Amino acid sequence: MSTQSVNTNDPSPPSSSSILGGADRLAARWQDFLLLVGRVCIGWIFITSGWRKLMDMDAFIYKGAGSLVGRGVPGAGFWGWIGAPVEFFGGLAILFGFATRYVALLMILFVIIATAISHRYWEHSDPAQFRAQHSHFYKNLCMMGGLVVLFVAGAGRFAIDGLLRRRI
Amino acid sequence: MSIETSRSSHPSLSYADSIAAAATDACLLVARVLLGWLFLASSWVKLTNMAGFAAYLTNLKVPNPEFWSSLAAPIEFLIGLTLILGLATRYAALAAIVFVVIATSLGHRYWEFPQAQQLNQFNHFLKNLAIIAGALLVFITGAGRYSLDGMLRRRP
Repeated sequence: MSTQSVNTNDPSPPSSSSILGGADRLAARWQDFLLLVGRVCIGWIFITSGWRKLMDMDAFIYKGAGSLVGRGVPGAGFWGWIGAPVEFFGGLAILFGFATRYVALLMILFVIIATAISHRYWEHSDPAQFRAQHSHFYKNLCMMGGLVVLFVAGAGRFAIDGLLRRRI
Repeated sequence: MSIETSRSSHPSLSYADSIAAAATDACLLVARVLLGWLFLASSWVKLTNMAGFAAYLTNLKVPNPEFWSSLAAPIEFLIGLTLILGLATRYAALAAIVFVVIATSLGHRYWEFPQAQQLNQFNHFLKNLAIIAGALLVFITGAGRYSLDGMLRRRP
């Protein structure tokens, strides 16, 4: 007869039936490394797009139909100078894993606002434009999903948060 | 995974930890719907216009476009469905990663596009990278309680 003790501190409790939970151990063993990879991949787009805006704030806020003024955003001059730095530094914070949970929430808000301003696909009558904006809209929802999971998971060990946790 | 409930960072940077811990399962449900929806929506576009999808693959110089289009579109749909339902979630997340890697390396080689389209394609490239990251994070956390996996989990 075998007795099985239930370890309540199991770091990787089964996620599903045993057939469907085959990758659980893998996920538990690699989680800190994978969280680092995930943070780099999520942070990258914000760093890149934020930097592009900061390098040409005129184009972002004032010039052309794609700018904030062109899209009729109220207080564009003010909000542009809030949005671009938030995007750039938010991306950096995610990449380095600094205040990760706060920043994940902030970036969810950022993506909601950016999507509501720029990717209103239902307003386009040209089918090519409709398709393009439809795709961006759902990709942005998808990125928000990733940020929600980042909020849940935290940054992991290989992050500034991880360093601050261990030292203090 | 073990969610960091005690403290994720310096105390002043950790006030959201208890919210994250308390709302983990609800957050994971919301996140799975957001993540999976893209796959459902874009596979639906393909499934309702298979000729268009095959032509798109032909344009990208994919060999046997008829075969690959009829394989890829249902797979994309299934990925979305299993992510939202939370069934075999870790496998579904891995499949999503493979799918997006292939789709991106075929369709969003931004450096090969004419100048006018490069920025948009570069944006798609970066967004797909972020989507891969989202799937990776779901692979790490699993589906949470509010999922078919959660129902199937053996309870001690």
